[in-house]
Amino acid sequence: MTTPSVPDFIAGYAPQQPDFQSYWTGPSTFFADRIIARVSQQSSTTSIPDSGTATTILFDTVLEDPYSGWDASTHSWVAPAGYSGWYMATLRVAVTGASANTALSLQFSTSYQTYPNLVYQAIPGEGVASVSQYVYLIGGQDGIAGLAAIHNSGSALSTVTTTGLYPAMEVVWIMS
Amino acid sequence: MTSPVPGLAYPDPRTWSKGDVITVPRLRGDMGNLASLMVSGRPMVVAWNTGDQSLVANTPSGLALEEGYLNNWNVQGFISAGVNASTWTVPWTGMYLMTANMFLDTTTSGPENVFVGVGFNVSSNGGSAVSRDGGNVPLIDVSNTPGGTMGADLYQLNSYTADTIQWYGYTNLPAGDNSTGQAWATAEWVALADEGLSDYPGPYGTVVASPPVPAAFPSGQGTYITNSGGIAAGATSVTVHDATGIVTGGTLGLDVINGQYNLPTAEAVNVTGITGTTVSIGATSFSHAQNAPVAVPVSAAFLNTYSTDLINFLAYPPFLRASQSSAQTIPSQTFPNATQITSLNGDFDNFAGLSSSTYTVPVSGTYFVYGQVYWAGSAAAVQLATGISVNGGTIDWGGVVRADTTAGATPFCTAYARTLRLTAGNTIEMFGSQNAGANMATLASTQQKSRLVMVFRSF
Repeated sequence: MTTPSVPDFIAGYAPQQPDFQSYWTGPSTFFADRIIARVSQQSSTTSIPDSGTATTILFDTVLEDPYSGWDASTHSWVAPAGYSGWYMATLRVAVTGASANTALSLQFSTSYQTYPNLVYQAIPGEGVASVSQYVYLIGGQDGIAGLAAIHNSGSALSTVTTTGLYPAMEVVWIMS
Repeated sequence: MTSPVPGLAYPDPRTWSKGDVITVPRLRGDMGNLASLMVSGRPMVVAWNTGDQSLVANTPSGLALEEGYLNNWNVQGFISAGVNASTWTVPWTGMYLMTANMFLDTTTSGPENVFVGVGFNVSSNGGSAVSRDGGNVPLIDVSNTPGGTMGADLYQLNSYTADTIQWYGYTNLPAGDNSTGQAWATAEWVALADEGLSDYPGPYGTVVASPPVPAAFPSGQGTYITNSGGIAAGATSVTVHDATGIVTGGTLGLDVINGQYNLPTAEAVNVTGITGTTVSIGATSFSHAQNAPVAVPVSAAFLNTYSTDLINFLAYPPFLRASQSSAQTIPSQTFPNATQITSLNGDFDNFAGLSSSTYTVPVSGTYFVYGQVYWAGSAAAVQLATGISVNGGTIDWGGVVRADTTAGATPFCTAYARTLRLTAGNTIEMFGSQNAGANMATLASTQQKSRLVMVFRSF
């Protein structure tokens, strides 16, 4: 399978049911039911060092991934082969135990590019940030991971598993 | 500017009537056009500020967008390195989802009342450009520490009045200490226009409240009757081997094969309902044997459901932009206790889901959800938060920041951005939380106000 192509309705040709499947049923199904992946980290936590180093969030729960793009070894989602294009990614990370002058920053990293400091904000003891970003992913090659960094906390901080706060990432197909 | 797809038109699918001939131009104009739009034809821009742009303190400063990752309509004069006002002229009328991310490289410490924000300066329908902030966050009090945030908004924009978009950064840090580290600016056409635009001849979107799931076309060879012993004259239902392509309002040909009458008693009947492979029909005039052929033509009803309705829905899916119309007093409370954000008015709400600041999801599926609460601020150290509650459940938090602006109250805007899977009938409410030790108001000026944005993405 690949991203649907624009159907070529040929004059003078009497299409059969399989033709209409490729002309319309398949493409409209793809457009209405887009590629999507939603993952979260609900049963474990990610420790984020106080070095300012962006740390990959260790998502452990796949909420939905109909194209089987999740790679648990790299904690990244790989766009399915044949479906290169623009995707919108969203990421939410919460950490607990921050001191009074700590910052939390989020970024995405794909196989070919990082998107650093998409947010970078001062946080309280329990701080939360979320962000969206459009990224181009090459089908079958490009993975996307969500990362967070902690600044000036004095010690490593952990993400939380509390409902409403646990790390979550979503990726949805937008356009070729 | 030119469309990446020659001949691309605003989706405006025909309504089919019985007897209409299914012609190639009609299929191209409806199905082919929609596919072109969805695959690569929708206007979209993804642009990048590579850094080192000095902003004007306390004034929204247009971002210089120096790298165009995507500008599929080839809007000319858009990317202008070094110019702090990269402006994108809207090439095609419709609803646009816009986002911005920006972080600043600061140098000095002591940002006791420093904010870093982003926003959108947009002329809509020929009006003057108006600034609307997105996220606006506090920094930490450490030298050489960046600060950054994101924002999103939804606009109805009109190419006939040459509407423009400018993405801006916003800070009170002085020049020399507020250079951009990097910024991203995006706009995505997400739907046909809503209503009321000047000069634009249409079409506007058509609401399809119950969109169909795409279905296979009828098989060319038809199907056959499976009722044991066949059906008698006067029958009002028939069971068939394969119901693919049969829809209420369509037509079946009993004892019809390859477009020809198979027997003198062949007849056409209207479909009045369908459950599985059992089809309710108008009373037959004749009996028909078990295994008798049944022709299933591509009916007007079939095309109106699986072409017209589907195209209308995909071109005009549910979206919402609700903005707070007046300031709201939020009591001080301990996180995660929170107060619902009220006085949300629907600027754009094509499925009429908003009532009393609560949005009821009209169609099941995934939605991009963005919410922001704009706080007046406090001279006391304070925690500010924005979250979303689905069906009154546990609040899902998107932005929780700490501001320590002892030099004076400074407005901040906390934001939430996620893609959620929702079910029709779910209720969406936005919440804010602050712990200043005293009441805090939200802001409701044109530039600084709370809002909730939702855009349907997928079943």
